[in-house]
Amino acid sequence: MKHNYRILLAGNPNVGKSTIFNTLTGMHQHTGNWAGKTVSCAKGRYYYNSDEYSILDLPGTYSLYESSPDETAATNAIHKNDYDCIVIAADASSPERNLDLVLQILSITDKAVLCFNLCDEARKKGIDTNKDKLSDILGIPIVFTSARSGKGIEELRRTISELVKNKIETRPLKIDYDENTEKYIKILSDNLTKNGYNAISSRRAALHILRSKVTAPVRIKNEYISLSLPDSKAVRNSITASYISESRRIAALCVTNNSKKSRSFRADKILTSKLSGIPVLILLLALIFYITIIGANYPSQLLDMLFEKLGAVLYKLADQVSMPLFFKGLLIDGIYTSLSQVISVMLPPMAIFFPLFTLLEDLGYLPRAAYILDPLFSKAGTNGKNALSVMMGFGCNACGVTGCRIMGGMGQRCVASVTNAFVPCNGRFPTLIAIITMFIIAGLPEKLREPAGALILVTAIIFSLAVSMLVSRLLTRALHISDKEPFIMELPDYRIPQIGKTIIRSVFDRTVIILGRAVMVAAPAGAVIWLLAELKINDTALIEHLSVLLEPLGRLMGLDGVILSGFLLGFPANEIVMPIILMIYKCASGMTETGEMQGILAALTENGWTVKTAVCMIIFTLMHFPCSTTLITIWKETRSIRWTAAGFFIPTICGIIFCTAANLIMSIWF
Amino acid sequence: MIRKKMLRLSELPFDIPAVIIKLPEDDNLRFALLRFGISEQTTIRRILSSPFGDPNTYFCRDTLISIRNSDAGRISVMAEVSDEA
Repeated sequence: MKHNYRILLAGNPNVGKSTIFNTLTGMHQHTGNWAGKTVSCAKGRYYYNSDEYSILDLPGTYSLYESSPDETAATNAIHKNDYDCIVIAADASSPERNLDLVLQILSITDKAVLCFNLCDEARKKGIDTNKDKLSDILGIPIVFTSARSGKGIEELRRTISELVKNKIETRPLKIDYDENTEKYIKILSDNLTKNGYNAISSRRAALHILRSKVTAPVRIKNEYISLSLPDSKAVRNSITASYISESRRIAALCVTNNSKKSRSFRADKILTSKLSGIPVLILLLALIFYITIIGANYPSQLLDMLFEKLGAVLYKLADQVSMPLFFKGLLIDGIYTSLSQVISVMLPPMAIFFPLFTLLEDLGYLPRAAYILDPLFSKAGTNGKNALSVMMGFGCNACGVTGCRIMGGMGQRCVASVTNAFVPCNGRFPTLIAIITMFIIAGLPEKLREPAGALILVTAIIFSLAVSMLVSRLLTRALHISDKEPFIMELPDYRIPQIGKTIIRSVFDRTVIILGRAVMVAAPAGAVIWLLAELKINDTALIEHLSVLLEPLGRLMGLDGVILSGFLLGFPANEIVMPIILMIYKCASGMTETGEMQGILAALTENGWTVKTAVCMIIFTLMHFPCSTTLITIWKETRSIRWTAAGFFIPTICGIIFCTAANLIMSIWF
Repeated sequence: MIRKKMLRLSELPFDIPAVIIKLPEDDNLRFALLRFGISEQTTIRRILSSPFGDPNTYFCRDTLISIRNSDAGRISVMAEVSDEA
């Protein structure tokens, strides 16, 4: 008879858990050389001997103490006990350390198989584990795998199948805790037994309560809260220390370690050293940005051209079916134009930036970047991991906000999410570059233009990042969230990335999802913008009324009402801010040609743009409310209206203040 | 002369194995270290310093781990070091 079995996959971060999952199921979940990659549980299935195995990939965790959302999710899933078997993935090249988690899991369940992954790497390093002896001590089956090459996976499938069919008997190692801990376990489990738990489950539940930091299952805790455990922190620490010393004892019996200094160590001597660490980091980042900006130009133009042609075809079609003028305008001039602009400007840079970034991630370089930049970010009240969300923010702020998940505490995570809007994303780069080219460097000799332009762009970015760090420092200080979380981070071994897979997966994982969200908002926004431009009150378009309303604030900030309207209506995506501004100017003056740079420059100068306007425009482009996609992401990640509101208002207020200051200072000269 | 000496982890010379004698009492740091599998009696070695001199990379239980100097300064270790160190 065909059966359906449920399997859990647990393990430390960075042991190739996602690769094991993918190899077992034939799925393509993204794998990253980075702690905390699997932030939510992935589900998959495979068939073995005509039985179906549903497999749940838990987030990678170092322990089961519920000290982070990931750990809570993993711990709760394991405690639920609604599975047939648990596969514990461990890194064969650091067996002792991985045993900590193995022992913790074995204190909860009997049905487990230990999958010692990366065994080829371990052998190369000179670390050898005696499989039979370890299996005998732990009392569970062990399989050695190299999931990347598929080695051992068949044996793993077979072992899982034998385990769920009770063909293998397990007798998991029981840990003896110290006297004090055993006393509390007994008090708690006696109480649990009185309330219907059997002897085994009551001991497990008691350990769960004692181990958890704050969020032990309320259901259990509420019942026994009256027990008022004295000094639970000390008990928890002593339980943890028991696992560590037991792992040490077991490793001493089963592991031979002839490890030499690894290749990672030799690479780190160059990549993170005092002398070359920072130049290498700057060079790598500069290279990524260069390839992105240069590489995106051509496909952007190509897409633009294709969309234009398709637009003409759509017009013809609309004429053929004699579509009413109103709908033709709304659908083609409104929705279609806005959609095509967003896609042609946004897609190419994202499709280049994120795969490159993912390659660095798979290589194992990103934790090193966090390590190098930690002192800088610790001054801002966060830690080095914030550097990574900032880097991702350059590609897309929404991705940057998602990237904040790797930050330790919730407080730091919220602050990092809110300050990510100060990082100019791909959608803002074209605007910044165009304005610098047209207004700031135009008067310089031909040869100086490019280097001067690059220098100004970099200065502008550094200024924006400095403001973001200042805001971050003020927030962490004011809310007392700085320095509460110690910054301890694993630096995983460098690995050669699987280039083809990485590129394909990162395009699907990040680019398509973000583009999807952008399209979802760009389409209705396109309709709204078109309606605002077409609908008239007293012979003046609604959009112009809006501009008139915003004019005083715009003037104060060295801008004008039209520019502010452009930013407001460009809320769905930063890419469409400039086109909207040009459209409103066009609407007011009846201009025709705005396509080429010269035409744009003429349109802007005609409407009163000077160097001062350009500078203020650069500042406000760097500092204003993030796009709607990012804002939705902030809400999804923090689940807090307050932090989402902070994400909207803090950059906007900073932008207004700095623009006004720049306007007043420059008014003295201009 | 080489002799056994008690030091702070942040003062440990490079490439000298040391045994952790005492973790800080502070709950957050102690727990963070325990979660990473670092406890009393664990052997640890400082191997690299970052470009700004902080944090430092330590080798512990076959894994590279970075610890800030302010945190490492609160961990006591025992190591065989020469008198000059």
